Amino acid sequence: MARSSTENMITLMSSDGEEFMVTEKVARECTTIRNMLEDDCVITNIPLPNVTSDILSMVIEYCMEHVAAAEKAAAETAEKGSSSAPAAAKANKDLEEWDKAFMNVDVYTLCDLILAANYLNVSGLLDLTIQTAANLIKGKSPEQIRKTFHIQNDLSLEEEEKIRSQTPWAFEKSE
Amino acid sequence: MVSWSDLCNDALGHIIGFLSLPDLQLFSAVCRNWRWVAKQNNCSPAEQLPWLMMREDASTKKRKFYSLTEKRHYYIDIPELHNQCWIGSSFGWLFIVDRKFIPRLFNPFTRECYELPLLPKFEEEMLQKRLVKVVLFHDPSKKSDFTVLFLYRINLTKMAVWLPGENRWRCIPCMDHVADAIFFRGNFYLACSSDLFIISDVGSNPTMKLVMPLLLSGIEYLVDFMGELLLVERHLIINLGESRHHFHVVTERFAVHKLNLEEKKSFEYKDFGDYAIFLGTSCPLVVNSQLYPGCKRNSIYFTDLRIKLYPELYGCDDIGVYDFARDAVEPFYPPEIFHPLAEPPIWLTPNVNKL
Repeated sequence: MARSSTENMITLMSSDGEEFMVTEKVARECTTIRNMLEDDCVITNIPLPNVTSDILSMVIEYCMEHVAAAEKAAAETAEKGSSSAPAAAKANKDLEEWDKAFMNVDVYTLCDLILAANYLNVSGLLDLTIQTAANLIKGKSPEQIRKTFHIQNDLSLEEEEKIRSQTPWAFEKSE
Repeated sequence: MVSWSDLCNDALGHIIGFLSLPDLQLFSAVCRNWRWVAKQNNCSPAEQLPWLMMREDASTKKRKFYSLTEKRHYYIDIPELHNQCWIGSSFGWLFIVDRKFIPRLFNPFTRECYELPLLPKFEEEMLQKRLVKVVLFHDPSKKSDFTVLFLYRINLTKMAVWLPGENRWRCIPCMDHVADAIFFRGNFYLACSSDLFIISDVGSNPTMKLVMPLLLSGIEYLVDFMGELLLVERHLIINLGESRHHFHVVTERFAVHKLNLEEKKSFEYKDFGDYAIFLGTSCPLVVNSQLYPGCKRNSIYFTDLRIKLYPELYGCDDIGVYDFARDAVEPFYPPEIFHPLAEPPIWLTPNVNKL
């Protein structure tokens, strides 16, 4: 898609010193950055000491995809006067498929993405990653959850027994 | 690198918002930090489709529940429900009455309980059949100053109101048979005989005032459908039983009328779009089916009528989902095997805002 040459570019710097040039529109997908820009509109270089380069590149990829999808939908609406429902539904479905493929990551990356989405306040990405994590938890026993997320069990046997005895029904397997 | 066990509390709290109540219980048993987050006041599980609450198992005394979302049963020991009669639920709270006529509002998942004043006396052996419906002003979990409207049957259906802080029920004079009651736009409404009434002056001198005429033809429910008042008719079909001396009554279809209170008119309503309504003796629930995989859109999920003809022959078998587009009833749960003490299953939405 052609971009007007007047569009502001912003440099985001990851914790390991890598620089990423993005359009202001893409950067504004991160509410944290949007707030910085609104406080100080001449800012062009933003250090992000909490986000590593590989995670930041993924966050940017997500934001770019979603900005492009929104621009495409807006262009179609402008062209035809109103957006056609089937086309909009297809575009939504395509974006959902893209999100799904984007979430094909290991649990360590998922954890880092959640933290980055939380820190940068990218609400769409935060919902997507949190929902993905919740889906990995659903229907699993505590032991299976620990295995999935590589979590050390720091509860004593007595504590575990006590927890189980409070709601034994939740721990029973479906017949 | 941050590990999952000490992921920030914001994010863990956010994850909890997507979990069902049983999954939240399991989540809280993973490690200390997750347990600590799950125990916080501001962490409540995702809203769910209502569960079916069924009879108590005779030997284990555990009560049987069916989660429509997870399509599985849970067997939960709830001693507070032993030897109690109950009507349906409202906001996840059951209205239970013990053999001494002491009524309580009870949340079976948090075990919280409000004891209410003694009821007007009925004959004890008929207690279960005399309880008709309870309507609450608002969710007792959110604010404890709730008002209760109680419908009971002695010859005709009668009504009583309990106001917060009072030590008695106020009886509301009512001549006719009350089909259903609802709390709608800040007032109690009644479908009674062939009219819709509003109860005015609930706090001082509760009286029924006519709102508009209705065409009532049998079993009706009042439903708050996204701020619109609906009258839902349940049409039954009577089949001759095997012995030719019994009738088997089952639901055939539903018809819905939207009530325009201002113009005092009603219109037939046939399309709920993505919504589904849950009906029975509990207060009606309206849910967006798109938020719950497997939930049928434009439909009514229903459970048995409170009083069954020949339960010894048919048990509790009149539960199903009515699909408006197909004008047909489909099963969503197998018929219950007969049990002499079986109460009809009711809808109950787990209401837990703290583990």
